[in-house]
Amino acid sequence: MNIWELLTTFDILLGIVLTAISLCAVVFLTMWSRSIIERIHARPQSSHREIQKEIINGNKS
Amino acid sequence: METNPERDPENPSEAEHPKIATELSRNLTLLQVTMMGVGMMIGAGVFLGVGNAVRIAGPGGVILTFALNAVIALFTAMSYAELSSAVPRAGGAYNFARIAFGKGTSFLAGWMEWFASSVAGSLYAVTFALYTVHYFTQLGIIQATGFKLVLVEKGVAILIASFFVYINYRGASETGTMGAIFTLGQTVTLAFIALVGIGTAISDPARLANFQPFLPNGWDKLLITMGFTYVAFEGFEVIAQAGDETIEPRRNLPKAMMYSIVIVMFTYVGVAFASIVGVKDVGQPAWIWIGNYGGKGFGEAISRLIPSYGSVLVTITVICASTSALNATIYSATRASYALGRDRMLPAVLSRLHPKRRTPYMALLSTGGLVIVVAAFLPTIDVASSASMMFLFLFFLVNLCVIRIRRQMADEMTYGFVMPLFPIPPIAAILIQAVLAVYLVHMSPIAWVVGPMWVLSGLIIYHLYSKHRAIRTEDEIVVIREEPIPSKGEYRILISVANPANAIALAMNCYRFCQAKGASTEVEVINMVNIPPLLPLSEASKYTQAGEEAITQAMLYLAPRYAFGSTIRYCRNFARCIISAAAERKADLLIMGWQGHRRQGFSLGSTVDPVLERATCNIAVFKDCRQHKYMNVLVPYAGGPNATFSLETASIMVDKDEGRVVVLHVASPGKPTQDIDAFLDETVPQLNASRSLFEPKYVIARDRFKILLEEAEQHDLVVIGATRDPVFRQRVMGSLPEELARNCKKPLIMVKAKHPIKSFIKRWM
Repeated sequence: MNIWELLTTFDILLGIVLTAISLCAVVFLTMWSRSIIERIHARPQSSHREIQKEIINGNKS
Repeated sequence: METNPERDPENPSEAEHPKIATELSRNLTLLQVTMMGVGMMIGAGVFLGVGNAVRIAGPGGVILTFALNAVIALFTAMSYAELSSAVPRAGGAYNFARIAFGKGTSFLAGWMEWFASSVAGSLYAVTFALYTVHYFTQLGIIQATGFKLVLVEKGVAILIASFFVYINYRGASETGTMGAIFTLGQTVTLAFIALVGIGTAISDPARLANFQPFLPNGWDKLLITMGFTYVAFEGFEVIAQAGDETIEPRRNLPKAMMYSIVIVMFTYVGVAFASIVGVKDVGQPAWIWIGNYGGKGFGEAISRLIPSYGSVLVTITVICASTSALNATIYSATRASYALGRDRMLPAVLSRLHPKRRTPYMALLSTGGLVIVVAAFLPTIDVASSASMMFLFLFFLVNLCVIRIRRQMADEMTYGFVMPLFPIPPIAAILIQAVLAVYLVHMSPIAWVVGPMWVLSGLIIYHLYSKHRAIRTEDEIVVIREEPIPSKGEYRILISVANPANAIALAMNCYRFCQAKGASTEVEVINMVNIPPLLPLSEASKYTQAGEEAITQAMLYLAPRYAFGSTIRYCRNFARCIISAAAERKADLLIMGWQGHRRQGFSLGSTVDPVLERATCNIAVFKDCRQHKYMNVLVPYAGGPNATFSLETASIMVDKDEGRVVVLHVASPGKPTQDIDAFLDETVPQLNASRSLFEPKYVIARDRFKILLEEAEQHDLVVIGATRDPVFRQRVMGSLPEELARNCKKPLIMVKAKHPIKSFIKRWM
């Protein structure tokens, strides 16, 4: 059996897709969170509103 | 709500220990706190969990279980990360609940944290003992059987627990270093096992057939396996506890939480994969073979994967995992009890720090005692299920805290991290964790007995002890003086006065509303005391003079005709104090003044903005409204939800005999205009005012702001509805009403009408 033979049933296909999405989602959210942390700490003592504003502006640009 | 301003005099325990003289030692690095989190997560539970999960959910189910749980855990970790970055103190969920919900809920959170972590520690001590004794028995070093064997196991469990109590006593750095060493060891070993599994699958693809059938018992069994393995992701709790001892906590704590989830997720998925492909030629499907071994399934599968030394490898890994998890749970439980002692929720002796080592040695001693007693005398596995249940409760609470604090107190926080996609992650986590908690009952019904009993004992202790002795924190609202109106009349107005200078003007304007609403209207005046920073609350009474004068001025104006009450309060944030008082008093209308000053980052001001955004009643903000008569009142109209209340306010403020109210609509060229006449025909009959008082006016112009400003100059009062946009959007996109309020030289009232559904939700959030 090889990996292509394994991908013949719907359960396996869906399971692999779900697993891959979950792993990618965790990594992506972690990297995103990390970038937010770095952006916030680039400015000391930022208030919540300033951070929100900065994140929104950052997402637009 | 607290009613006594004094901190010290009625609190003897605090008087005995007036201030914690020393602080916990701050020397944990990002690596150390990450490894503490990983260490707590990869406890013995995952090794037992793999076999059982394979039995219930099948070979594909076990991998999906860990992958999906990682996503849910990350949602809760983001809540922990955001709150820990804003409140980096020992106590974790206890601190968050204290800020969000007050001392009752926070005590229960701390109480549950202490118990859950301690019992989890007992479980790890017992697991260490079982595996170690079993290993030495196999080598022939230990030859005890029956009851003697049990005694040996218990003795080893007590010894290892005592050893880690001593390590924790040595200091946070030693604890972190020791934890990091064990955790690195186990993680590297598990990563090695995962790599061997992948290599085996590549060299022998026939082993992939072990994944057929992928989910032999159906998709619904995933929920059960997710329920009982979810606690294997609970390590961010210990990271949150390290707030006082971590270098750069606002940056490092959130990072450590995220990183630990990623590390653990790949480790779990990797070893689960390795255990499935590790089995070959056993005469039955691999998942049935592994499942038949239950908790030992993982070890047996790895023994098949690496026949020469797999068994030894698993034993060493389990020993490393249980010791690092034991180390982390003792650390976490100690900080939870330390925080309870620090705030006098439990006896202050728990907050004592060792003068040299800066460790909370008394909290550690009591936690160590609890761990040892549970390990030695109680059925640990059953009690540990209750601990799992309590961790789920805690996570549920922390997700609620993050929503409530963002909604109500975000202005007061200095965040080191704000989660993306808010509020989707905490809401998703709450819903999914509720489902998992229900499915956990299938695994351990006893969890639903022991857990509530511990909570009940906490409630009794809180009401008999903690409630009366807890120290107030700077985040709480303190009522300094109060003369409430006993019963709720038909209409209640709350006036927020800052000083005697604005009290008369506000009282005068309030009087007009009282006249319009009838004789059964009640008025309550609230004043917030401004205590200079660093002064204790016991000094508050020295700063109430201006507030008392303001209240007296308002009282002279209003009390002869209407039921009158007053309250003087202290809170670090005035807006929260006003919003809380309006909700508590069930006010129908909140009246406050605005001087026209604006702080950077706000539309109208740091107090007015949050009040307009979050108060759950009608609001009228007065700017320079000191006249007795208003003849020409302008109401800019755009058809929003505040239009009716704007019109009502204008009809109350205008001179009814000789005055007029101009309802102005400025439309952009080419865009449809609002029908002011239809609006007036529909609204005026409800206002107890003549239709002839109101004049519609239409203007078509590109620059709406310029026209509004010009029109305002020709009137002696402007009544305008507040914007409906969230504050941060106003800051980015701009907002016409707030822009007009800032630039208008004439008296102005900005109003916001209560929205029944939004107000209901806000009250509960």
